[in-house]
Amino acid sequence: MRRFFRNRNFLIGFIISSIIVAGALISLCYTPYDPTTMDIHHRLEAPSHAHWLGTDHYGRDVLSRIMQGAVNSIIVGLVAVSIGMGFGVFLGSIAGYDRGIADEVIMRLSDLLYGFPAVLSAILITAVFGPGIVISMMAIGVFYIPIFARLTRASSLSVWERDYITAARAAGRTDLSTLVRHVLPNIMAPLIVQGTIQFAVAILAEAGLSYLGLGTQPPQASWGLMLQEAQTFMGTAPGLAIFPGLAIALAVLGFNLLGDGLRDTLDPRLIQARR
Amino acid sequence: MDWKGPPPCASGMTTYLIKRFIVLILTLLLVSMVIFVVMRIIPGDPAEIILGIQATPEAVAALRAQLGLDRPLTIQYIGWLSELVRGDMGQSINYGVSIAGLVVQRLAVTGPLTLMAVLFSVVISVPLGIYAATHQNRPGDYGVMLFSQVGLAVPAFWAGLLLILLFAVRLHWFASGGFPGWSRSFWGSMKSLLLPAVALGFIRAAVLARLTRSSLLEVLREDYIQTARSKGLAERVVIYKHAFRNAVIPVLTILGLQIGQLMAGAIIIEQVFFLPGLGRLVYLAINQRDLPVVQTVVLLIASVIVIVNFLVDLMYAFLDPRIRLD
Repeated sequence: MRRFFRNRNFLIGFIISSIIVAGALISLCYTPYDPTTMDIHHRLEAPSHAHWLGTDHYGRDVLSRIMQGAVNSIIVGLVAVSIGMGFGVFLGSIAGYDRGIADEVIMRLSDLLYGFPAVLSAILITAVFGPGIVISMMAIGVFYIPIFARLTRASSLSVWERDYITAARAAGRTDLSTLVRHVLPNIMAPLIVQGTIQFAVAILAEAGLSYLGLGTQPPQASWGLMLQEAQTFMGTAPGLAIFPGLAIALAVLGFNLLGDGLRDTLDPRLIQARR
Repeated sequence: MDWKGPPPCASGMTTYLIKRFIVLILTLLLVSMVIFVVMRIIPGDPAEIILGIQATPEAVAALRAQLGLDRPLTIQYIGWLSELVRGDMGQSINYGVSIAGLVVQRLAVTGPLTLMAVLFSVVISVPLGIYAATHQNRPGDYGVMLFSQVGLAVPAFWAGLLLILLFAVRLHWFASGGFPGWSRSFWGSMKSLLLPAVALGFIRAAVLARLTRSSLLEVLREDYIQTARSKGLAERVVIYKHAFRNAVIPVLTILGLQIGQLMAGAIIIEQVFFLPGLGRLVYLAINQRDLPVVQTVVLLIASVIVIVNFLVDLMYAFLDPRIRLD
């Protein structure tokens, strides 16, 4: 672990993302106020001692809603990356092992999905199945499948050529056992790095969908939804349009830096290349 | 050097071109199929939505027949595709006008918006990338890298909201949204596209600045750059005449790929600034179940992306022979 923390990107990313994750975890058992309870006597209040980040147009505490929004963002990131990684690694492993018709079909389908505008497709999917956080997680996750499939295929191709794979096969291991015990563990590093980066992208995507009214639905809090609601009140309560956006930017920055740091540490060749 | 025949890679390039073209056509066909099928899964009968809940079943059936919705799916698909090939995009259910006219009208907003965003991102990112590469590991370089990281983390729609907050709400320099129309006011229209273009181009600038930096750094390590320096050429000549010309190839490639992404990204930005562009058209059409508009516009945007990707691939193969020989 020490070599990870020696990397500046990893250290900063770790601190920022830890704060976001800690905020989300704390919100599960404590928030300063109930994030969904309205209080019209205290609507659109500026930041104060009672409400550190002010209140929204229904008098709900902004800090509490940002904390609850963090839970949403983390869940969306986790589920979307799990869908993308689960299916992507499975399909990429088949493509990397087969290198025949299955490879060609998987890769061409992957090209098709990869070339499709993700925002447009996510909007279409949520339009088909109805808006909501579950559908938006799935819509984002589906577009991660080709990313992980391509990465798995590309990484596993070279691993299958290694001497230790030949040795494992010569020792009588089945191809499936070789894949699980030798190939997949050796391509985990780029997959983890990519997973961290896609986690950040999922937070951005969920915020965008919620801003359009297709992601998290009211009265639940989501950073994107909070920004959509804030747009009408920017003249009277500018903080409403600043704090949720700041939360998104910080979360994405944190996970991006974490991904960069992991990549630098797990693949020292990249450090040389960057210099 | 007397050899006058075709270049050794000409046949390789032709084969590559044919292969890529076939893949392009297949991709476009697949994209059109996916869009058509998805549009048919969307809950809600367009005929019922148009006529409202008071409509009689006979009226709904008559409208379904008029819209061609009672025909088998394959016939509907082939009919739609053949009309598209002939340039007939059909009629919008909600607006009651030709979709081609709507698309041209909306493209007059999304097209310039995308171009302005590209222009903004290039003007900002290329000088920043060159500066960072030529001042590597110095405060200026760290500043550019910080800008790049922040740019990647800021959602375009939040950047748009912040720009509205500063320039419309506080300073009153711009309107907070809307579009006057090119015929009514050219400068007014340009002005209303400026903030959205900056918001949209900001993230692209962050990506391109980082790419320009790394690409230029890679080229600056090449032997021919050392040779140029050892010849006594001025550093400015070495960087702009020798290094940057080679470093710009990957930057152009990514820029090309980003044009398609920018068109798709315009959907949210057009919502933020209430711009009557293609993105807003498709977004409203989805909510109104205006299927002909949705499927045509989505196909149009997806086709632009697929074709731009194809052209970028070709350009890259033309510039880098290793790709077509692979």
